[in-house]
Amino acid sequence: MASPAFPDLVQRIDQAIRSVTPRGVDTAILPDHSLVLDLGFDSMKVALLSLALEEQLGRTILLERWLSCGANPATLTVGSLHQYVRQVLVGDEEPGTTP
Amino acid sequence: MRNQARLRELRDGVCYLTLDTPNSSVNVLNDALARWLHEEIDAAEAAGARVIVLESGKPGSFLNGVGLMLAGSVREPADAARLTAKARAAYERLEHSSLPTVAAIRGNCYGCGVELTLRCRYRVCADDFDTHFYMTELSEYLFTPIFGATHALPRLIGLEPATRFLIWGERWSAQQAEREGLVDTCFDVADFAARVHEFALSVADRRRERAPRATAAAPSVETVAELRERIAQLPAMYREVYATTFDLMERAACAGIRAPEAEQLAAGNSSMKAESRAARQFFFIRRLAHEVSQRGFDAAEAWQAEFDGSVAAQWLKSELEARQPSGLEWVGRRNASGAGRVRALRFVGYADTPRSDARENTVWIRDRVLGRAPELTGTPLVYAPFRAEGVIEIACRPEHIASARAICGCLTRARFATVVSTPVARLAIDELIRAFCRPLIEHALGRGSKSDAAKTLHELGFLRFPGDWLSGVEKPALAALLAPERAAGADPDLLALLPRQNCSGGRADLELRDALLLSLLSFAISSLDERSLAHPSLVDLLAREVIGFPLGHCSLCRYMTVDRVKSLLPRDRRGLAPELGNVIDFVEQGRDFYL
Repeated sequence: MASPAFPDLVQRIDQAIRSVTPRGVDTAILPDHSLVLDLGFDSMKVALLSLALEEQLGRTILLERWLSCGANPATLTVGSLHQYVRQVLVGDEEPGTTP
Repeated sequence: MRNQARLRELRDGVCYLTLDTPNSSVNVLNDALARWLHEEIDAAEAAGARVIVLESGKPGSFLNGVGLMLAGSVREPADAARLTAKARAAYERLEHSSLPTVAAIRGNCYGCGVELTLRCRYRVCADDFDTHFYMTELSEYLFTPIFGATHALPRLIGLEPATRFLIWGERWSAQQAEREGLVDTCFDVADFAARVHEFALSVADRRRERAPRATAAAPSVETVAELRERIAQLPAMYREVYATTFDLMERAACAGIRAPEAEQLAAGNSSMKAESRAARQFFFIRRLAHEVSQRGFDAAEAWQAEFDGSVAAQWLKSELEARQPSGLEWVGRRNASGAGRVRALRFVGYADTPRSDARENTVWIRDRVLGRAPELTGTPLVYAPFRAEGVIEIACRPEHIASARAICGCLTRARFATVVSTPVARLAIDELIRAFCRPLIEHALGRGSKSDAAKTLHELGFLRFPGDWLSGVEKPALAALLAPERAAGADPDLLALLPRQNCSGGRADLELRDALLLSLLSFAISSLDERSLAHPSLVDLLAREVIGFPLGHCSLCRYMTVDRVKSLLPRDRRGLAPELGNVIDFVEQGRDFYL
């Protein structure tokens, strides 16, 4: 999974998660991990994740819309974040397709 | 998963339950905490405890919610009840414990944290700056609280105080909470634990009368009518959620009706509204702004601060003494914090006439609107022109950004809304005021009515008006800021041209609305292009705190998308003011501030 501008998109997102998760930088990050239930994110940490993603990707991505994608915290997974970020980046690269 | 709350000890029959969410700086109300609360209350009852004391293991914070994240998951109104079922069951368990319960509150107590303490029989709190009470749901996120506050608050303290607290979002200190009846008593922080234990023993020994659940008298018809009228005057985007929440409170206060299902439905309905979604998003933007301004700040660093005799410096000193942020030492006191690094700072009033007596560690401070461009050399300027609003800009030259961020870190710990700027000309706050007020002044000079201008702001969602919040600014400073070309002669009374709260009637003026929004957008673009503000979140924080940009639109930069700006621009762009050239560039570039 990548965007045209970021072939290593997944690694960049995981690096951002790792830099923020309260579990620490050595935490294993798996696509089915819930950021809330498995990685200890709360709403403040999600805000910090926005900043970490900006450092990795150079664009400010607010994650409120991603949060509202999940029917419950269990579905707010690393994989769904990969998917969301890829979508908004592609939308940005191709104006008019932002979700 | 580790315990969220632990049965700390049973001492003299007093059972202490300490909320302590692992891997988090604050306690978070989630399903795990709810489950543990259930289990620990069961254990306390079985262990022969005589009283339960609920306390926090987190310094500075009692309990935070996951309301923001849950609210984002609400797809239909009934989801709110489903998603909070476990937490609400824990609240019920606490309320119906066979043991008397005491909430021992130290640190900020917000939203669902307040609601948790309302389920305890008694509430006591520490008398310090960190301990304060605030219902965030409506004031910050535009949804109805879901854990019983609409019933419990008016029943406990009366409809009018409950309305000020829950509807109008008053923040209450420990002492005010005691005066209003929200807590039974507050204790000196120095011997808080001992006093809590004494209090709990008095409860256990039945030396303290059982606190009645509902003491407040029913409100008068006139009181209800006045409160309803104020809500009816709100901008449309806020009216429904405020009115619905007030209805629940009024039914509780006047008829004792407890309607948890109606409260849950109201919470679900309101959290699905576009305004609530927008308001919740601002939480993240505010956090971003804090992080951006403090980036690289060493939290272990301490200050050793001295203040000159100027009014501005003495004001900051008194505020910091009251707020007591960690890491601040005073000259003459030993560095008791054990910090690795101590930064010596000397706050000196920044006068109208620039001064040249800056030492290396000097920080200028200004507590009135400056109007003109500041002279920044090697010395940051702490700019707090609206003391009561608690918003501060720390301006510096780019090469001194690290110093400014260190100051910002400490002031943020003292709970000021603080941004760091590297202004090219005027200060960012001044530029923002200018961008906001100039279209209003041009409207007035073109013989537009003030009531039309007020109505325009009202329909946009503004709750306060510049004619009111600028009323304390001296005429020359206001003239220098808003109309320097007119200030050469006698100082014009520009304040008289700006709309105020009491401008009734009038009709919204669409041209003025568009001019206002484009002027604010132009400010945002130029601030970011010139790097006077380093991030859109800083623009947004200032727009919220200084001019009261409507929460229901989230934020200035979030609201002003390329598509929206296109719809605001006139077809014939040749008529646009030259200073709006950057708006055209913004549209042609086609990139929103945020993704």
